[in-house]
Amino acid sequence: MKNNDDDISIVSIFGKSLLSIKYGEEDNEYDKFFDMHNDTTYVRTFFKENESFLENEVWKNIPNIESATRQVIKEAEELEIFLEELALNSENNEIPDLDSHFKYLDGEFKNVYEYTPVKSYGPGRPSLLRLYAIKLAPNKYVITGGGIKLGDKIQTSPGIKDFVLKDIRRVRKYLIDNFS
Amino acid sequence: MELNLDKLDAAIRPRSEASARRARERKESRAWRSMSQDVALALYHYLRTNEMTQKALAEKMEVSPAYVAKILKGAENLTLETISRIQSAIGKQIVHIDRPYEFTATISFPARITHKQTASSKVYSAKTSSGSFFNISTPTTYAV
Repeated sequence: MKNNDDDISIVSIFGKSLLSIKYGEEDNEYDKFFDMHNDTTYVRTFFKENESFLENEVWKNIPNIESATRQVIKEAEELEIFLEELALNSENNEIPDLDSHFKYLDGEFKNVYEYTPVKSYGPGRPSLLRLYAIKLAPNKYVITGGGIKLGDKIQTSPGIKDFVLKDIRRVRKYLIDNFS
Repeated sequence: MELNLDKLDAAIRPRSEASARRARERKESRAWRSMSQDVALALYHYLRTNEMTQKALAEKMEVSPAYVAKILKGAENLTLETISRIQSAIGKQIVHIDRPYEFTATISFPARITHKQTASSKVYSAKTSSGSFFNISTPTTYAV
């Protein structure tokens, strides 16, 4: 499905500040993320299948899978509103802006300063949601995808381990090959 | 490998009409969809803790299992009738309405009432289970 770089395109979500990757004829990654995490059944099914992760000390305040589902849905709702506000501020040179929100990654991309992979947390404390992007320039980001992060690392999180890092590497290569 | 921003900007495409429409729908329906999601989660919680299947719930609500699945996705603009059916099916109130006008009073109704209209007045009398008659005075007070 996501194997051919010819299938990658970049779509505008908000002006030239907030962009999203789109693979082939699929929905763009930004809208796909928010559609999925507004679907009660999708999110609850995820937690039902990965219920054992909620026993981790980090999630001790979440009593059951319905509570976890509600937190994700609320985080998604708030994050979408917040990102639009930050993107508008970014377009108007006002703060807070997208630069103040996205955080650098650890691990493989820790000291990467070009086509820098970054992440956005949802508003929950601790947050269950992650949305990943590549920073193209000050206040210019392209969303690569995201999901529910239950483990302490991407590599141990069932919601994201199979695609987040692969997609980041693939998008970075696409950008370097086509726009440098 | 510095990024050529002009070249990148030239390659940006607009969001598809379908994506833009769904984004607008997410934004415009936020308020009621939030309530719908809460109803869905309350139902999921009930089904799980009472070990009831979606099919059994559908039968109790007298709707199709597909409709129950739709409700559980949290994207249905539920009618009051549907909410009533849900509550009736699970025997539990899941939607609570604020009633700031509410007041508390006592109710007094006899065990049995028979109406007796006299020629001279329209006083209704009542017969209790013990056989005595008494007048029902109005206005009666009642709990709300």
